[in-house]
Amino acid sequence: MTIVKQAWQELRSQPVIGAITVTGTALAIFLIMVVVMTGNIKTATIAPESNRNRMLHERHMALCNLNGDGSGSSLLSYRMAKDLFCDLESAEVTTVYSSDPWRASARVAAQKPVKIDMRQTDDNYWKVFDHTFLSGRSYTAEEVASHARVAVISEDIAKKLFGTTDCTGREILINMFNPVEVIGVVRDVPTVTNFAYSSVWLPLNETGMADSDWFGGLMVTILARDRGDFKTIIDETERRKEIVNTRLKADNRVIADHIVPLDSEAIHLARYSNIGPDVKSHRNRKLAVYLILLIIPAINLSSMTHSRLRRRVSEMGVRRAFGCTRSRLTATIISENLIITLAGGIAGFILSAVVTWLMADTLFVNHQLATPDTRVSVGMLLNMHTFLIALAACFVLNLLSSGLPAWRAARISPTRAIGGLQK
Amino acid sequence: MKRKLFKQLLHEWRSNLWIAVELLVVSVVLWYVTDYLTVQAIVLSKDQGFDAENCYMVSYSYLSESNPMYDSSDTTLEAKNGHFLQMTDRIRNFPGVEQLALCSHTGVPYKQNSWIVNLTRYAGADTTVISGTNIKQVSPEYLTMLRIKGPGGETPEELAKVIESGRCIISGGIYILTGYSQEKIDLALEKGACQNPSQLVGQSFMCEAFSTSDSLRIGAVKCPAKRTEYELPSEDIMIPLRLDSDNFPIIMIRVAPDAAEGFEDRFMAAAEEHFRGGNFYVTEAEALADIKEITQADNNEEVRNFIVVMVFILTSIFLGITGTFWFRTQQRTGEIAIRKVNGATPASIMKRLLSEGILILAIVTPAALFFDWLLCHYQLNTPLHWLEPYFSPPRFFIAAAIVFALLALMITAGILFPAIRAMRTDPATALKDE
Repeated sequence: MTIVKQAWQELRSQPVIGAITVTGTALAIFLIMVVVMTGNIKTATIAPESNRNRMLHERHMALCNLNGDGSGSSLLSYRMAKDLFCDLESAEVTTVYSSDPWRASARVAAQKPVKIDMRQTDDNYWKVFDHTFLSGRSYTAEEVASHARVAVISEDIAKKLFGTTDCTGREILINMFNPVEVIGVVRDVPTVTNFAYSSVWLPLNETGMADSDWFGGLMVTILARDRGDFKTIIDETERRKEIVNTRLKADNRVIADHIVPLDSEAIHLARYSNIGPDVKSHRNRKLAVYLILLIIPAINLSSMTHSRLRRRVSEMGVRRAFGCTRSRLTATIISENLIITLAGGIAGFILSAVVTWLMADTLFVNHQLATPDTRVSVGMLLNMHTFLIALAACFVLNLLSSGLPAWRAARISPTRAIGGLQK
Repeated sequence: MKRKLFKQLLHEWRSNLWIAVELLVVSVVLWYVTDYLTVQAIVLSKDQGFDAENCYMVSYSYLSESNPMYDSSDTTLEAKNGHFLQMTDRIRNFPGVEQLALCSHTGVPYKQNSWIVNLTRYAGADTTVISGTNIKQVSPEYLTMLRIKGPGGETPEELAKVIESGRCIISGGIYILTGYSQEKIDLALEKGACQNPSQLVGQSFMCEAFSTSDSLRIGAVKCPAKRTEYELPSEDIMIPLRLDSDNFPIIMIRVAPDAAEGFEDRFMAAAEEHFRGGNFYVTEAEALADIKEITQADNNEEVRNFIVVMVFILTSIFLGITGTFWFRTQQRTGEIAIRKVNGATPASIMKRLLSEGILILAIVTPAALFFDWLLCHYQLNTPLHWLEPYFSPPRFFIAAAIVFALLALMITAGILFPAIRAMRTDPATALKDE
């Protein structure tokens, strides 16, 4: 409590410096947390992707010619998805679905069409992702196999087309001429859960796809029983790969090494089909950004802590003369400073959540989709993970900015300090 | 005066060292950011090579056999072609549509689709190679719709006639080599030994990736075009489009400027009734400007992030300088008062404080330049192109000058507030204890 009082008095005695210190700290924590939150939203537990920590994904297929004179790569075909990743013994379930939703229109007969994002999926999709059904149900394996003309639609589209979510059994026309029956309505999906996102879902029609044996427009998500099973699952897919390769070798081809199921962090870095994601360099880049965002304000704050302590040199001398040890003095200064850092840190953390939330539609927008509304809530941004990172950033910043000045201040000889000779 | 300034700097070396270290770190990071932004600005300033304003890509689909409206007579390629052209005619005649062009998937601006080929022509020992060029199949209107011009002032209409006559248009990438191998092309690329493409007009080339039997005759030269605004112009070859397979081409349209507002909605409202041709039907009209936004979203985000980092760093510097000089003027109240008593004007006090800050920056700058150079030496900065050097003296010094100016500005702004307070010091109050 004494430390808090002392820190408060310190701020009051030097209001300008106090304000600058708190602002500097808040600014640093604010930017670090914006970077953390924007990255974290891709891997955090957010419904309907509540099982992200148990998911492995693959969207690409790449083939190399055995004689080394070329290669080809694109998205997965239905056959490759089935042969490599479906019905794995080591996994709970695998779903096959269109890699990206595509824009289309939907309307009720004689009404104006609305823009939709459309995705084709198998029945397992509804087991891997936990969409909330407001009415009706998802499609079954039999409906997928028989190419049934049914659809699950989002709450937003249901309200636009029918004015209610209670519309199962009604017919809509996709792209003007394709009638389908609505069998289920789900709560709107945030676009940041991009594998679960769409506004209309249809049964996967593999026969209607213009894909080759190797390449198509699909991806898979494998749901592991436990995160610890990832290695076993990857090993099993590698064995599947060898079986498929024996077939491909007849055509002088093999599957490229980088075609391996990826976890929720890596899949977002797998932008190109011809090369695997570079997770290590991505992490290094992120670390460099954090270091820049920490070190520059730390030097600043350190300079100010140093100046503040110079004004309290006689106090240090008196405390030392009365038996306070150097380590105790150092610890006290660092703790006092921590109070100020935490004050700035809390301000920065709150500010980062508010700004990220307010700017969510700009920060997370996916121009490819028909909807510009990302549906990001504050709850998605604030979780234990982001809170712990903010706290850790405060501790590091505090240690960097007060460690050296505190150590120097504690080493001043008491007689010189009381005499005002701080050098 | 200058000696006194140096002495004072040395006297307060501890706090000045903090500022110097901070300025050094900040200067190097800012240089990296400025260098990146300079490269982006140079690339963005290059001509795009076409004009896609008010242009749209029209997507279409084909009814499946299970659809109740499926036209079962649409079985032969001739019938399908006829229906496809029926649909394009109807789109062309829609009010507001100025032009309609067809192209292969590589021809859509901003989509970044490529089909990179080499074209070769053997003449004795020499081989002429048109290397690494993106092949696009286009209808003649493609040239006029996107207003593509030639380097010699050839108009889009003149270039369209070349395609109409069955000849091709190239934009560069010409290498005359003795013998032919990929290594030789790579070497020529590195040396930048590209020849003037206009000398090849009238010559025929083979493009084995495209056709093993037909040769391509060069009819004209066009300016290189960018794939996106963030890429440098690259080479392409345009060849006449033929409707001879089930791979139907991309449809693009240009809309009159006065019809652009609300065009998409009007167009799609008419789609069901007007744009069907057999089993073909229109599904979407997407502005090329929107496709550009999608493709360039990552680049835009990167530039935005770099600018945010830059603003953050400059704000940090501002706060740091303000804090340090606030203390300094507090400590020097007595000294400032004595100087005022001895005739110093408020302006001279301000000048003295500003000089201190700028002098520290000037002392730090050579060291910062050395670290900037190291970034170039170890190829950690951003090159203009993978073939261009990482260290380019004009770019290096332009970025350094911008960084110096920005930091000087922040230092001035940071010192201003404490300096004004120092200027207002009342000597009688400040020295009353003496």
